[in-house]
Amino acid sequence: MAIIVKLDLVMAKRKMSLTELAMRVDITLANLSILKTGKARAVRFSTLEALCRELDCQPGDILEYVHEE
Amino acid sequence: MQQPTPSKLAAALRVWIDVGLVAVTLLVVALAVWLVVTSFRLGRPGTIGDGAVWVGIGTGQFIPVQRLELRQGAGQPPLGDPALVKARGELRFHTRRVDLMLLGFLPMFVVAGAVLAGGWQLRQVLVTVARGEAFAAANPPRIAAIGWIIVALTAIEPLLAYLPAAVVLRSVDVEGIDLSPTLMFDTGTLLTGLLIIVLAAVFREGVRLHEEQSLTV
Repeated sequence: MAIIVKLDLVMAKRKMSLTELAMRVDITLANLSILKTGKARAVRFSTLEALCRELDCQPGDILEYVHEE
Repeated sequence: MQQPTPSKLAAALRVWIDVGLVAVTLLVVALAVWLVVTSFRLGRPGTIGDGAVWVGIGTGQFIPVQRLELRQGAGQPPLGDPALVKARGELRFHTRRVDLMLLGFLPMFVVAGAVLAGGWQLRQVLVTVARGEAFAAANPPRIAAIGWIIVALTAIEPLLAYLPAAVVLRSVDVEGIDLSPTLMFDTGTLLTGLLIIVLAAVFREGVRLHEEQSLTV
């Protein structure tokens, strides 16, 4: 997929575990795991907003576009 | 990801379908065994077998049971004691010919096969619905298969009823009653089959949307 999720990098910088983030953002651990492993098809603005708020970052820190041939 | 919602109704219906499938299978096996045994016995002297075909009866006549007179001639199938049962157009007869006896049962076996095949597909769909996984990826092909089975049966079954009747009626000649092999297609059932195929396509789209929704975070 052309969109790469860098959630694990941001989480590592903030020293935050997946369980803690899931609790703070109020989404299930399973859903957060889907996002982290790059299996998600879509991300809601509300989820992105909550992630940016809790991780104190910008959407571009979590998502990156890579051009694919 | 949403939690699946199990359906008790689907679970109960699945049990009912299971009972029906077992009953039909047992009936088909019993009938097949009986036909095989009868076929072997027909070779012995003094043994006769039963046969039945579906025929069209002249318009506006109601005949509860009508014994028929035979037209005998060279090359005619050897039939005996033909009788029309009620107004259903069921022509019963005795015969020593195995092929004539089996011909009458052919539509029954085809219908039973279709019921078993379609019933099995429906059962598999109900299993997933009972688990709360109605939008499983395997369900649209199953639903489409049920539709195609119904369409195929609607197309084939009248021919399978027509051909045996055409053969048998060559030797049945009755005054005042016009018997003919019938070739009637059930358009209602055909439309039902086509509708199920269309619904399978709609369901396929539902599966795609459900998959997308379940992977939306």
